[in-house]
Amino acid sequence: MSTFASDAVVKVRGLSKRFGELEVLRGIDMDVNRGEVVVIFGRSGSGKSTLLRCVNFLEDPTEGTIEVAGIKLAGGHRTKHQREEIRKIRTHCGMVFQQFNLFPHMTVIDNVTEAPVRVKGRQAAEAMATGMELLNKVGLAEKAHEYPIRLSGGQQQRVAIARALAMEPDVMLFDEPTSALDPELIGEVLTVMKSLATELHMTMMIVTHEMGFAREVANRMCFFHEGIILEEGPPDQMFGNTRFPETKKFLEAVL
Amino acid sequence: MLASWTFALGGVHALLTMLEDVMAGGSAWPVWAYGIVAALSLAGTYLLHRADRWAYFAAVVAAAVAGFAVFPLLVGGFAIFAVVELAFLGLGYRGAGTHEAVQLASAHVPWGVKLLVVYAAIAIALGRVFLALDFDLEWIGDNAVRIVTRGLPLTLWISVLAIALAIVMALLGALARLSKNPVSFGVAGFYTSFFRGTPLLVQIFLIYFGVAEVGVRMRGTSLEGLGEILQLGTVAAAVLAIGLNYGAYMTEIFRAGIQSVGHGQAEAADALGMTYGQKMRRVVLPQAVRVIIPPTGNEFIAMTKDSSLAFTIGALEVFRRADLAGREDFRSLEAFILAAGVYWIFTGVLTFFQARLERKMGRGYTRGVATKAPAKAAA
Repeated sequence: MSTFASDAVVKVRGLSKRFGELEVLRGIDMDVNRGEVVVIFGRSGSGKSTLLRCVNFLEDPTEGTIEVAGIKLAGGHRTKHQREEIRKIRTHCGMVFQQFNLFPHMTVIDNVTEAPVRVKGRQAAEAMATGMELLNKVGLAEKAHEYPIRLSGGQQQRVAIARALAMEPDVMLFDEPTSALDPELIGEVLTVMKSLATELHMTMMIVTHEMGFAREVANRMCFFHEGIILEEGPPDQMFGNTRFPETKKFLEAVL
Repeated sequence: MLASWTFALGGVHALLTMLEDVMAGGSAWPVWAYGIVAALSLAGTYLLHRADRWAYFAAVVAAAVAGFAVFPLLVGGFAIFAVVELAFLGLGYRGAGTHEAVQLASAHVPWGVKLLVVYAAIAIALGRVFLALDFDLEWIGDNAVRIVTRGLPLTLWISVLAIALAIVMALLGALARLSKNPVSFGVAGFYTSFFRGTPLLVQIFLIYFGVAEVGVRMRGTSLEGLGEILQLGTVAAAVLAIGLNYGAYMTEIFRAGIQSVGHGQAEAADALGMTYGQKMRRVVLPQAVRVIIPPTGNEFIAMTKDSSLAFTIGALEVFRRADLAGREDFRSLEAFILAAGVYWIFTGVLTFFQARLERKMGRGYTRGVATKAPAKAAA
């Protein structure tokens, strides 16, 4: 397991997830430290996305516990108090979806300021200033008053990143952020993600098939195989000398 | 097409003229003549669709001659058409007189102009029926203001209160039908099943007479106060019945509208830490409303018309007042036409506003229109 457990932003312990008969996660333990970039990769159906979705409780864990920013929760029946705790955990996690999921009835800047104002109770003017700053950061300040439909996929995904950042999260969860994009639009999104790592030292959990990006940005890579973390280590280990034939086989297939 | 329409109009014209003649006390003998003209028109329409140049021209001339022989006034349409065609042929315009040529010429006339012509023709035909039937327009004029000013406010009042109740019921019903809570799910299921499964008229009677009967039985008991409240007025009973009935139908509209919002939207709201209320109010419902508005507008229009059912329990709305006024003066036909006209015009106004609202709700869903930046953002 990870060696820096004391400073972990996200602690996953004994996490299992079943959808009926299907066992998607089979006992995951994982710590993600502040400022660490973890890339999660593996075959489709290996449980990568499910792990990410369990971290902010979009999926309810079948077994095990999740701890984010000091709030620790298990899966199962929800009391009102537990639901409130889940909501708190979510305010500490910024999530970026494969399909962007921007709110189509709001302008770009409203998408970014909505949650800070409604959920965190920020003043509108303050949220607006921060929002414009973030849009500037992702290179879309001049699109602030457009509706999402007028933006390309890459631009929408950059707005989605700004929207997640606006909540000042402790960890960013990226669920295949470039999988729905045309090839020529992937670069702009990866560039923004890279700047989060290098400039903001943002803690990130990234599910992606972009191995070039992973090699460049990841501190640690986790290979998911049939619901467990089969192998993890720094990119050098993954690309240099993998310990398992499955990892090697997968990397050869995607590289 | 233009040619065949000329013929078809000739046929309609012949029939209307016949009606006018008969209503004006004319003898019955011309009836067969009109019949022949109408038949010729239809035959002409058929011929036009298959004719080569000369057969077509023969058809035009034959119809014109036949029509003229029977009744000079009837041939106006044909005659003008024949003259125009002859002029073209005389000028040596190649292709004049063929169906194809007319179609090509027709393609130059804007669609809107053609539509206007159609509306004008319908208006003229209806106007002629009105005149032929010798409506008492004076009676309509005298009573319209009274019936509209006294009846329409009540019709409106019932409709607006009922739609307000229906929207509240539909929203609650839809959220309940989508919830996992067995109590709200079950209660909403019972509500929609009952109010969709029984006739509105029965519900109006149940709520007006039935509930009052329950109130009567409470007399002399400790619930006497409640019993008095249950003696509902006609308006209250109508609003309750119509509102609950339409609310049950609209529950399904609202449910479908909410479900039409992509699952990703709710997840994005959840992931941002929004509460259930925030998620619904700020993210899901605003998007569902866009889908809900067109069918809800239809329901409101239907409801406005169904508010006339309140006449059965004695509410003096538009239909009831028109009915009473018509009976008084033996002008029932005029009265019902007046009532129909009032509903028609009113629902027309509603349709207009519904269309505007729909356009407004479409923002963010069309790429073509650039968004205007607020002034403060311009700098």
